[in-house]
Amino acid sequence: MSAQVVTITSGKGGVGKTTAVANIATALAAVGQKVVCIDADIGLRNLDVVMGLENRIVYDLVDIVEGRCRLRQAMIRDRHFQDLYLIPAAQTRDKTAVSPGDMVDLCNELRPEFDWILIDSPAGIERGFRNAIAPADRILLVTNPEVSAVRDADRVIGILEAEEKGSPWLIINRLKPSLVRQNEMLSPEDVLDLLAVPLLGIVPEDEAILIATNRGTPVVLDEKSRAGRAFRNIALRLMGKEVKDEDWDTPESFWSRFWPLKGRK
Amino acid sequence: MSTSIEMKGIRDGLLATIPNDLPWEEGLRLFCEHLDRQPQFFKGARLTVDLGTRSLRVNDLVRLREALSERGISLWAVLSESPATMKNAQLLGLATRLSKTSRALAPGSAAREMALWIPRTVRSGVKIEHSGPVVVIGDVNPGAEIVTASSLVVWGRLRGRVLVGDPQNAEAFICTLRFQTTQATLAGIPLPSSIPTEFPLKIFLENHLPAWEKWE
Ligand SMILES: Nc1ncnc2c1ncn2[C@@H]1O[C@H](COP(=O)(O)OP(=O)(O)O)[C@@H](O)[C@H]1O
Ligand SMILES: [Mg+2]
Repeated sequence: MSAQVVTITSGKGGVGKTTAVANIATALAAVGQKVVCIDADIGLRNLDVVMGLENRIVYDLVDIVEGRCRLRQAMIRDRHFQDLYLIPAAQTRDKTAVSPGDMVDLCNELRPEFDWILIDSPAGIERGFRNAIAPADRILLVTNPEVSAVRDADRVIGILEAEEKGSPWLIINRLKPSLVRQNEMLSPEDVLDLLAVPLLGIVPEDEAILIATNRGTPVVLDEKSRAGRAFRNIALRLMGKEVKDEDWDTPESFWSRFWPLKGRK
Repeated sequence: MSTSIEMKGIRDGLLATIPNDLPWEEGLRLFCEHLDRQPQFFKGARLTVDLGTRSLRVNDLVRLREALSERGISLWAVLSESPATMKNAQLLGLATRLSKTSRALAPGSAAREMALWIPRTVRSGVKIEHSGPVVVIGDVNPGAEIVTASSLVVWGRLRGRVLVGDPQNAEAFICTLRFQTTQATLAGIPLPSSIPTEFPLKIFLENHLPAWEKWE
């Protein structure tokens, strides 16, 4: 087994990276994949909270890097799935404690035991961003369908291209189809037209996310949630499956925007 | 061993040298401190930075540029003896040698400058300044900026801010597949929103006024 390392990042903060990591990881684990999440958003750590693991933390990423604990000791097992783990970020503000090389080494150590390593990254060109993208085989870029978020996403795509990390795959989060119909929100077509990268999925605005986050139970575990369905489909597409979302009346031609993913490992 | 920032006046503005023996983080910090000692003096300046032999990544250069732009200083060019740094600077659209800018800015000579060839989309946050013609194969996205003393050709959609042609340059033109920006000037003249956005066109000056024709 050799895990794929997938880093989830964004241009702007607060667009849903942590939510995406928790849900994609849980959805992958739910179909039997072995997954470890690394919270690389040092100082703004909250993946543990979203996954409901906050009060199990003893050691963190910096403890591993600085040799205060063994890797295994800092891996927290998920409450719902045997084969899902979290390595939490340090609470300290010292973002220089971890280097890009440390992240590469850490992932190389984890690779043989997992199918997926998901990394929650800080936004854009902040410190820590380089750490998070250094070991990535694939980068997922989260944006909201808003002009400012898309502008910042474009910027990050430029940087990733310049760093020769290739085109990231896009997740459009918090879409409100009713607003799109009234021309009050950018449509997925508008966003893709500008960013010109492959689309991995569209997640609707969904109150269930807020409730799920407060409970520490990712929304993919809620069968009825529309956002949960969207994240489950995203996980399946990551695994190379062709799945369509059923929640919105999408013209058939639109789905062609997804399939450039196929065969692009 | 010199550990202070050197600064001297050159034809293109100011040349700053960050001593080669300093680690990059340290050099950048010292450099910022140096600038902050005389903020009014540097504000609005055009700076060329000599980076020595160190090998810098795109992110390092982005941080350098942002540190300068926060202080109202424009990063005009970087000088480097590292091929990696040079390549990354070029990806960000930074000049990598002391161009013959002063000469290029004289009317008439701009068109003879070397063209800058950019075979990809210019994305938000990227600013390209060049004294000769600029050719983009790809789009110019909102939030991107291109400044040229000469002409601009965009084989794609033009949606960013572009300042094309020196004020004296009556020969400057813009060619693009889709002219979809409201932030464009030609030889210093703002281009009107009446210019069509739905087909390829060439924009040029006719009797000192902007005019356009279909670009076949
Ligand atoms: N699809 C969605 N519908 C509703 N709320 C969402 C959705 N996605 C994220 N949120 C909320 O947005 C906020 C920011 O999300 P978060 O994942 O923490 O962003 P980031 O990690 O990018 O900073 C959180 O309060 C989260 O619950
Ligand atoms: Mg987060």
